[in-house]
Amino acid sequence: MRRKCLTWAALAFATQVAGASAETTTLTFDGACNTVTITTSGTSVDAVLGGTGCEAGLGTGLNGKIHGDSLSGLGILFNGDPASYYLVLTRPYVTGGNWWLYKTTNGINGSWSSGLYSVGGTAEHHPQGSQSITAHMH
Amino acid sequence: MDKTLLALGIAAVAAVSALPSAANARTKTVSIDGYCNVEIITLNHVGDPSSIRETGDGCDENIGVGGFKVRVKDQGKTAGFSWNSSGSAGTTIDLVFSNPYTTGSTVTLYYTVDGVTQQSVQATYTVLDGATQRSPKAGTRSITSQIRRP
Repeated sequence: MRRKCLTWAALAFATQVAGASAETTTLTFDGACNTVTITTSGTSVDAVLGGTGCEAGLGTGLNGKIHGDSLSGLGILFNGDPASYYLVLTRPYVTGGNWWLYKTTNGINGSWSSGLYSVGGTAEHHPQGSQSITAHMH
Repeated sequence: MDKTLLALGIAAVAAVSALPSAANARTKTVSIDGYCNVEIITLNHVGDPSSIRETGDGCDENIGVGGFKVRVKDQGKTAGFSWNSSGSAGTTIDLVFSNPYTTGSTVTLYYTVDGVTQQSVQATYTVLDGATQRSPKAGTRSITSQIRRP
């Protein structure tokens, strides 16, 4: 029992991984009002979502690769929205990059939307459309 | 980039109709060691999104989506899910399974409360067979009890 307790105690650690080497990039979603300010530090990635007329939210996740191509994958929580979202962004962050947003409201079924993003702009000041990326989930 | 676009493009199309309700979807039941969480993960084809939910056992209520097989530096192959948990309402979470889905591997709950700083809680997990409701290693509290909010 003592060994189990020690093992679990060792595993149940909490760390702060965003450090001095963090880089921040602001993206706008083409044709939508959303913006996302991304902070990356190594494989860690965090996000603040906003945009004039768009819902605010936060994201956190990891940078990695699928089939050798780089991307960021983040769990997303929009304020006041009980649905769960997962956002995928291609990397490096360059204008014309792709995004995909997946949504579930029950952990069983899902919907999605996708498009392109642009680098630059300042959150809340450069909306590119009037509707949110969550407005037309398929 | 083409293969990623293809994989995720297929994933998006698949999500319309094939996310867990598809006949060929299969599930994994995973117990987080040291905690009471037992999760049902519904898997689709490689490259398609998966989903996750708590079994309704009274431990926690949570839902999520994602589960793409992503290779992360120093971690190897992983599968990460968004995770809305009633046990930590308002906290943004990415629940990441390493070496999916293999008993004894690690599961890491990454979370943020400000969108700038990431914190994490780590445990191991046990893949259950259909008859087992909870791992012998299970605990009494949800892993979200380890989340520290300011």
